[in-house]
Amino acid sequence: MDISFLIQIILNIAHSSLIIILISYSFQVIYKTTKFFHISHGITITFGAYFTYLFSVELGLGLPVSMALAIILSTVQSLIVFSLIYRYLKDLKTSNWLILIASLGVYVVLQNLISLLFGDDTKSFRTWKVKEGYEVGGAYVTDVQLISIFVIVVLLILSHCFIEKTIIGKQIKAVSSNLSLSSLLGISANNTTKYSFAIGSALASCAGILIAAETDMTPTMGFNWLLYAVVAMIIGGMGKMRYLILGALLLTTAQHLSAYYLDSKWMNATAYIILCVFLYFKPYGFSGNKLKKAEL
Amino acid sequence: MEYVLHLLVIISIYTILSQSLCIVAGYSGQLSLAHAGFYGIGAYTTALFSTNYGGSVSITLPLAMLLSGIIAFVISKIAVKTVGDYFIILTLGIQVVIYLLFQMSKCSVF
Repeated sequence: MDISFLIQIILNIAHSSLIIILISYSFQVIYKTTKFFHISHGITITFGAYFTYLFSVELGLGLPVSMALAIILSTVQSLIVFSLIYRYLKDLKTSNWLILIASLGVYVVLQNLISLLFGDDTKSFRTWKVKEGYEVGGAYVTDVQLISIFVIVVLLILSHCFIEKTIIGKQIKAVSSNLSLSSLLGISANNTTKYSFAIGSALASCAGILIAAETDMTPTMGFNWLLYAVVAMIIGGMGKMRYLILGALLLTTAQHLSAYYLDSKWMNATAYIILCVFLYFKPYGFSGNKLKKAEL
Repeated sequence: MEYVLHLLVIISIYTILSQSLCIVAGYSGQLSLAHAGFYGIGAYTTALFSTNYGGSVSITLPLAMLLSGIIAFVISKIAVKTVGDYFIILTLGIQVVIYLLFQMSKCSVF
């Protein structure tokens, strides 16, 4: 194993683990307030990419305008799903795993809608010329990778500051730590959940656009990335940002090594085998936060 | 008539399948998504044994049930560590792993 290969694999791991961290963080913002797995988050990722394709290639708007429109529309989509389905099910006091199955159903319906409208083949909004990329110590890194690393770091810092500093963010934290106490203090759980859905979906659609800029889009792309993000979240434990980063790094390192030594087909299986091992030996993840979910 | 027979076969298969899921989800309260994997293990075992070794259904069917049950027992040792949403995600993961193993195995059935 020579040094240029090592640099290359580190660059790839950094790029894909940052995408997983972004999706995982956006998923976690929603999960902490609502306490159920929002599987149709995966379709928000796909919608971000496909709306950008629709506006920039088929309607001929500029790329920045279509990206902004795509982020807004994906956010609106997830808010519609929340107010039409999840809020209704929450009012019925259904158990959390029923809502998970409902969200899986929403995911399948919306994914088939995308397949109907755009077709199952790979689409791309890349109109710029494909360049060779910069050489860093024998390894190659492309413009898109550099831009996405920069954008993700900025987005993560901004959203972290938003959650920690602003009033809306503090309300989200209050609702996620204790629902009944926060409603006693006059914080509307419904509005706060809507805010958390909006923040999470906007971040997820940004991730979708960045993935599509790197590796193009298919209607099923969101689900795999979402499941990686969920695995990273469970490995890291539902704690602070640093545990999330640790979980995502472990996951992507294992995936890239298995793709190198075995085959790239084994990347999915590696993720789940790691998940099984972690849930067996360390059910609370790195952070060790005791969740009710993992207790028996 | 042919179509009605086909319909009846499909109805019977789904009845067994939903009944088996009902035993897991109804009594334990945990929904397992790994069921599709065990369904696949049963199908593959029967098909591989009857095409490669020429066994009749009366031998291959109990064999498939036994193998699927043994694998499910091993997997359940991992899966009972979790409850609720985590259980669903874990069983979904197990299902994906079984699916990938089928997809990547070189053995041809037909």
